[in-house]
Amino acid sequence: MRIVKFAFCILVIVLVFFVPYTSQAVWFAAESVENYSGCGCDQSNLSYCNDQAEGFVDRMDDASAWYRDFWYTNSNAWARDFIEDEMSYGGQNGQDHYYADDRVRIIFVSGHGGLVGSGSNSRFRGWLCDAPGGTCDFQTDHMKLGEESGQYASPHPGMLRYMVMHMCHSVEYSVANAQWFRTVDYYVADYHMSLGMNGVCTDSWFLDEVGYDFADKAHHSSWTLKGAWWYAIEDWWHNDTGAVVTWGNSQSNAVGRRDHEKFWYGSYKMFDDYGTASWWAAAKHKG
Amino acid sequence: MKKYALFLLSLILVSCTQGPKNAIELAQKSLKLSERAISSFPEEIPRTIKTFRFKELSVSEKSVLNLQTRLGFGPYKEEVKESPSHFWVQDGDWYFEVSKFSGQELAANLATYGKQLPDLRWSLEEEKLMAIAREYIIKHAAVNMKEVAEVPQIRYTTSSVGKTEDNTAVEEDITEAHVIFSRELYKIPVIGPGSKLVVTISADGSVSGFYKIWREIDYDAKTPDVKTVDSIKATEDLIKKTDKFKQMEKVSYIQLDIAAFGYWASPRHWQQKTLLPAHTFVYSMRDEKGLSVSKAREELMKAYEGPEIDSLSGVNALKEARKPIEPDKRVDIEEREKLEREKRTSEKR
Repeated sequence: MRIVKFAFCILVIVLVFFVPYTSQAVWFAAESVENYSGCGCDQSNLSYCNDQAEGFVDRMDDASAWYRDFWYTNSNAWARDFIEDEMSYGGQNGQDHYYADDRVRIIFVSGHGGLVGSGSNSRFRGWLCDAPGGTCDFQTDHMKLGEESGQYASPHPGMLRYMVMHMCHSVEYSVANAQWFRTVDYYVADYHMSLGMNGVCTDSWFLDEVGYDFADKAHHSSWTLKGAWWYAIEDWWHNDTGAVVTWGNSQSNAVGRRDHEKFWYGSYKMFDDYGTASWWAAAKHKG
Repeated sequence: MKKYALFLLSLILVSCTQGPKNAIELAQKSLKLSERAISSFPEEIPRTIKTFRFKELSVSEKSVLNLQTRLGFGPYKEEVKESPSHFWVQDGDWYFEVSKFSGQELAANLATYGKQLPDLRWSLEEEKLMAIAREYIIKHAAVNMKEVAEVPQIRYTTSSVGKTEDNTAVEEDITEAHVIFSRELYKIPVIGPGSKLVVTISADGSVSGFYKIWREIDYDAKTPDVKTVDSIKATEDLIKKTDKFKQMEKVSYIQLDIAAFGYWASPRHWQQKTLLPAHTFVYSMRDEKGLSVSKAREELMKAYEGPEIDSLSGVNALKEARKPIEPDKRVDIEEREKLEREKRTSEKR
C-alpha cells in the first residue's frame, strides 16, 4: 500500500511540475549562410554568420520555455523557407509551412541582405542558399508572416512573431514600415516585430556573438526585445546600426510594443496579439 | 645642355619611382574613403612605441556588488546570478552585470533605458550631454582620467511612429543619447570595441545606462617597446586584400569605412592580456549606385616589427567555453509533416 501511495505521489509531482511546461513549448529556429559559392549563389562568401546563429541557438537552448526546431546552415538554409507557400517567386512556390516562418515563434537569420526599391515601394531582400530548383533570395513582397487568419492562413497559419536578422538593410529605419508591413497587411496582424540592421553591417570575428548576446538578454524577463537587440549589436566601434519595426492598433499600442515587448517565460502574454494594424512604430540605434 | 638633360632625366626618374606621400593618398588611388576613414586615417606614427600588459582579471559575484555600490546603489537586496559570460543582478528597475572575460560593466535602468519618455520632447544640447557624462564618469567610472580622451563622441537612438498607410512619420524624436569616451595612452588611441566608457542619457537628463569596458593596465609590468609598421605598408597590404573583391560582378568600388592605428582592444567576450599596436580597416563593397553588395569586412593587422609578443586580439573566451553545436540536416517532407503535427499539439496556441 505504501508503495502505491509513493508511486501516486510521484505521479502527481510529475503531472504538476512537468506537464504544464511541456504543453507550453514555444519554438525557435535559426538559418545562416557563409558559403554562398558552395551552393551556387553568386554572393560573396562570409565568415561569421554561422557563429552568430550558433550563439543564438546555444543561448536559446538554455531558456526553459523554448525548444529548438532547427538550425540550418549553408546549403541547408534555403531562401524558399521564407517565401509564402501560396505564392510563387523565382518560378517556384514557397514552402514556409514546412520550415521557417510558419513553424516557429522566433527565427534568427544571418547572411547577406539588401534594399530593393525606394519610398513606399521599398522591400527587403535576403540571400540564403537555394532549395533544389529554387532561388537564392527571398523578398518581403513574397512573404506572409504571422498569418493566423485571412487569405494566407489556410491551410497553413503563420506561427512567427519575431524575425531577428543580422543582414544589411534588413530593417531600414526610414522605410521600415514599407519594407515589412507588406508581410502582414492582408489580415489581422499577428506578426509582431522585425529586428534587423539599418544600412550596412559588418562581418567580423568581433561581432560573432551578436546572436548569443541577443538571446541572453531577450530571455531575461526584464529586458525588452528591442533593448536586447541594441545590446547585441552595439560595440561602440564598428558603428553598425540596429533598427526595429512593429505595429499596433493605435499609436500608443504600436509605441508600447516597440518599447516594452518582451518574452515572458512561456506565458501567453508573449503572444498578446493586437488586431488590425493601423499604426507602425520604429527605432534605430547606432552602436 | 647635357647637364640640363641629365637633371631633367633624374627628376623624371625620381618622380616615377617615388611612392605616394602618405597613406591617404595611396588609399585614395584604389579605394573610396568615407568621412570617418579620412578623419581617422593615421598620418604620423611614432617609429617606436610602448606596449602594455593588463592586470590579471578577477571577477566574481562580489564584482557586481562593488559595481552597484560604486554607482551609488545598495544595500544589496537581490541574489547575484551567474550566466556563462557574466555575473548579474537586478535590483528594482536597475540591472547590473560584470563580464567574466573582460571585466566589462553594464548598468541600466530598464524602466527608461531605450524607451521614449512620455510627453517629453528632446531638448538636450550636446554640451550639456557631455557635461552630464563627464561628471558621471569622474564620480563613478573608477578609471584613470589621464587615459580618457578629451573629446567624446555622441550617438543617438531615434524613434518614430506613423500610420500604416503612410510611410511618413507622424512623430519622430531622439529617445536617448550615448556619450562615448575612448582611451588614449601617451597620445596613442586605443582602438577597437574594448576600451569605451558610455553614459546613456534620457530625454529628462537622467543617466539611464552606464557601460564600461576598460581592462586595467599594469604600469609596473615590464613590457618591451616595439618598432611600428608604417601606415603606407599597412595600406598596401589592405589594397592587395581588397583586390579580389573588385573582380566580383556588381562591385563597382570598395569603400573604406574605418582606417585606424592604435592599441587594439577586443570586445567583452575576449580575454586579452596585452595591449599591442595594430592597424585596422573596415571596408565595404559598393555597386555603381553606392549601395553595399555585401556585409562590410574587417582587417586587423599587427603594427609592430619583429616576433609576435602575444596574441593581438586575445582569445574569444565565450566561444572557447561553449560546446560546439552541430547544425541540422534537412529531413524529407513527410518526416517534416509528422514533426509538424506533433509540434502543433504540443504548443497550445
